[in-house]
Amino acid sequence: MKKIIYTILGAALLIGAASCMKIDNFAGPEAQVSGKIIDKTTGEPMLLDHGVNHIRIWEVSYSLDPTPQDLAIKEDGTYQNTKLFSGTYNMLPRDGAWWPCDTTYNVAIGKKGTVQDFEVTPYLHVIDFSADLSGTDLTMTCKLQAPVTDNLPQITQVRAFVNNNMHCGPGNQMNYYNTDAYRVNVRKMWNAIGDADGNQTVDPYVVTVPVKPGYTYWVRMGVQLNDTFNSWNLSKVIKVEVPSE
Amino acid sequence: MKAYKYILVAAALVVGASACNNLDLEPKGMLDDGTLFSSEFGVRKYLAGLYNDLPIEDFCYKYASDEKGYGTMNAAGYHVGNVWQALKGYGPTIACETTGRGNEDTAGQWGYWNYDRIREINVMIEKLPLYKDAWDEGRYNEIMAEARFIRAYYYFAMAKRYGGVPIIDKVQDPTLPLEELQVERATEYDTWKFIYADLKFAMENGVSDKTAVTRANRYSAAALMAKAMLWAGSVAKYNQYTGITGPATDAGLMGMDPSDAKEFFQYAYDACKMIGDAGFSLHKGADKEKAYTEIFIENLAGEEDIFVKTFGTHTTTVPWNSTLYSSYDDMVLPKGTNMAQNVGAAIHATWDLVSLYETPAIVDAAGYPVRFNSYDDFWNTDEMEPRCRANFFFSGMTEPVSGTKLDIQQGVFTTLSAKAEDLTPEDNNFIAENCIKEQDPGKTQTVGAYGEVKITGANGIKRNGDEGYSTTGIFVRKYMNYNADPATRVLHGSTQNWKVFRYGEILMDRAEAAYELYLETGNTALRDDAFDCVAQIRDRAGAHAHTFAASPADIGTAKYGFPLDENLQYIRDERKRELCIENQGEWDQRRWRIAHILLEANYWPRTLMPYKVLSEDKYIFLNEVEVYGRRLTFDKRNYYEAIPGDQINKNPKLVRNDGY
Repeated sequence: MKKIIYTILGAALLIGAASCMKIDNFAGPEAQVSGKIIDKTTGEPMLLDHGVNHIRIWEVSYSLDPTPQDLAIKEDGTYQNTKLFSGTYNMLPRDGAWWPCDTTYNVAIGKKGTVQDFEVTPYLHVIDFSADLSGTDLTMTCKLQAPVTDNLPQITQVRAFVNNNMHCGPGNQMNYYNTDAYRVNVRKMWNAIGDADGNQTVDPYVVTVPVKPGYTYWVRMGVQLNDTFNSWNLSKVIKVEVPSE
Repeated sequence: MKAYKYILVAAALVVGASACNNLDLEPKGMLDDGTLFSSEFGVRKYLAGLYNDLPIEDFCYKYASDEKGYGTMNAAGYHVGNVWQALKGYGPTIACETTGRGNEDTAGQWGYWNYDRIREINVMIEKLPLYKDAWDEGRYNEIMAEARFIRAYYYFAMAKRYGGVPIIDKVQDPTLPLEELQVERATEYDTWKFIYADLKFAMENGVSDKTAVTRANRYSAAALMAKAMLWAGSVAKYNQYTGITGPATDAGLMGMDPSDAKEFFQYAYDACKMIGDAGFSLHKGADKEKAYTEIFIENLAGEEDIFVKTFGTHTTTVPWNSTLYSSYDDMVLPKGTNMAQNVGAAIHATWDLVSLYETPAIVDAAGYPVRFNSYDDFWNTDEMEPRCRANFFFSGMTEPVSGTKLDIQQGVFTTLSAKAEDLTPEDNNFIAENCIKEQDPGKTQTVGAYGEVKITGANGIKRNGDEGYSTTGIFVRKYMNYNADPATRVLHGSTQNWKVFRYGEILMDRAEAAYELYLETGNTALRDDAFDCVAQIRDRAGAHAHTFAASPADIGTAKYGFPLDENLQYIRDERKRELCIENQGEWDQRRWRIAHILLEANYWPRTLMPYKVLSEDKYIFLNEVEVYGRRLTFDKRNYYEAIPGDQINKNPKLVRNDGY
């Protein structure tokens, strides 16, 4: 009798233990997507700052009203994400300084990787950017050029960004320079600053910042627009080596 | 056996029959609708909780997180009120009126989605008519007016955060189909009009005794009307300049047509006028400084008080879950004998605020710090307006309860020849030649030929630690209870009332609404009325009369990118002077849509640092940046809070606000 009870108990334990095992057969987040944000007017990738702009994606495989996720865009205008779930996504480059663009619907993203580029029209180009060193004063100059001028949001400010590594922009800068002293407060509509042809600013914007001898800086200028995201169009980055005293 | 069967059947019958007795009796220990809505006591009982939770931003108001102070339900599901830490995140810290630990990024902290309370008040509004017979006509309307005032107050707190919200004006039956329970957001315009309708009813039917200030009467309804409609008008006019676009904006859920501004400013103006006509007046006295401090401590019912939240003594051993006492005195006064006992000086007034008042110059025409013979010469002079002394304590002033002469000094200069601007750089690593500073208060040192000299004052400046001692050179005096027993200057010890609405605010509302209306209509009588309101405020404050510009310059375009004339700016500045540290400034800077520009580049609040110059035996003040290096930013999308994600999950009809 005792033997039978032990046998039954043993069997029950085995079955019970086995039933605790659950096989998670759902695929991990292994799907990949990458691509570029291309400036439609030049064909080149947009000049951006690391992590400041995003592509908003919605996974529509399972829900009609999914919670959105944002993919960060790199400073060279490319993006890559290798930790998504396989599925169908809607994608929209959303919070940068470009004219609002249409959502790209039903992008299939899978393990093999999907390349999806986006073409956008920037609000402004920061052109003729130069950085001239005179002693410990670094003078930065730029002009603005607008591919489309009708209904362009108000231009808020032109600012110089300074950093001590190669990543430079509104999201990656030395805090010391992030004050009202190193900017031009514009607050004007395009028609007040554009030239006769209407697509380039007349006067250059000039900002001078103090730098330290013997240090290397990466600098650029940017223009902020009064759109939903207070977004920035940026110049290219220039490396400045300040000679030792 | 048969006998047993019969007995069993009979027993079953007995049990069964007695079960037919009606057991559906009114329980004696519970209050039903009839009890609650047909008597004064019942209504008072029903409203007590709703008043307690009313989103009044008082001493216990913390702008962030669960600890807003008005008994909001927190994540754990219970009420949190009277959090002593509230002053650390006090609203004025994000309007640069004060500094404290609240100086942080203001994103995503303001959420307030209070449909649980709206349901409660809707129950009353729906059930009260069933018991109309129990009331006489006039009193019934007064009670209904009170209920609608409360509902408007709750909706106002949401509309100023989210714009258009779902308007629930009936008690929803949970058995209805889900479709019907999921209500779409109304447009922002309709939301404000809904608030308007409730308040209009409350203004016309509320209690007319203006001395009954602790429950909503028709004047408190008018005061809320002024405040809410001024908000709506400002949003209609200024939201367009934020440049935010998207589906919610297109649908009218965020922002309104600028042409709607006039309508709302008119409502605000009319409400202020009604209060003015009812005979409220500013509290005055021969000693203007003393009279000004009395506004916040004395019972001024029938004079300046319009609506008052009463606080009382701390009667429970558990200092939570009641909002009826505060820790204010302990949190604004410096630490010391018969002053703050526990924490002390959690918030510090800024030079940004104090410099708006009439004060002696601290920098001369050539740019050098003005030399004072003593710190007293800064404040004990006719050059400082009495209102400024009534609102702040400066070095050398005497705290009235303890009799302590406040001693604030940051350091000494052995000699000084530099200009002020060279001594106040744009960072908090201020090191100057010939200057000796200390991290802690109350330090002395031997300095060459000068012998043993005081470096820092007994009450500050303190650089390593942000509480208990001054970090800006100025203590907050407004609302401090000058009648307090020193023993109450502990956590949860303060009992002074909160003036939710006072006539001073109404005059500022009126000035702004009238001037905005003048800009819309060109009616110069309105402009003159606005100037008169400012004149009354300034006269009571003991400030010099201001001469407004006949043809005001546009000072807004250069600074904000949209027009704003200098007279309107002056009215706004006067509002800040009059209503500072009353949890108005942080909302005003949002309503005017200027916060994202004022706090654009990590704004750094300024201080009034007292120093002694040893070689001259004189005293100076420097506007250094705040000791703790706390900076402020404001992202413009935060003018509208994100609709809570859990609500969107429950109700997919809720459209997200743009920018999120």
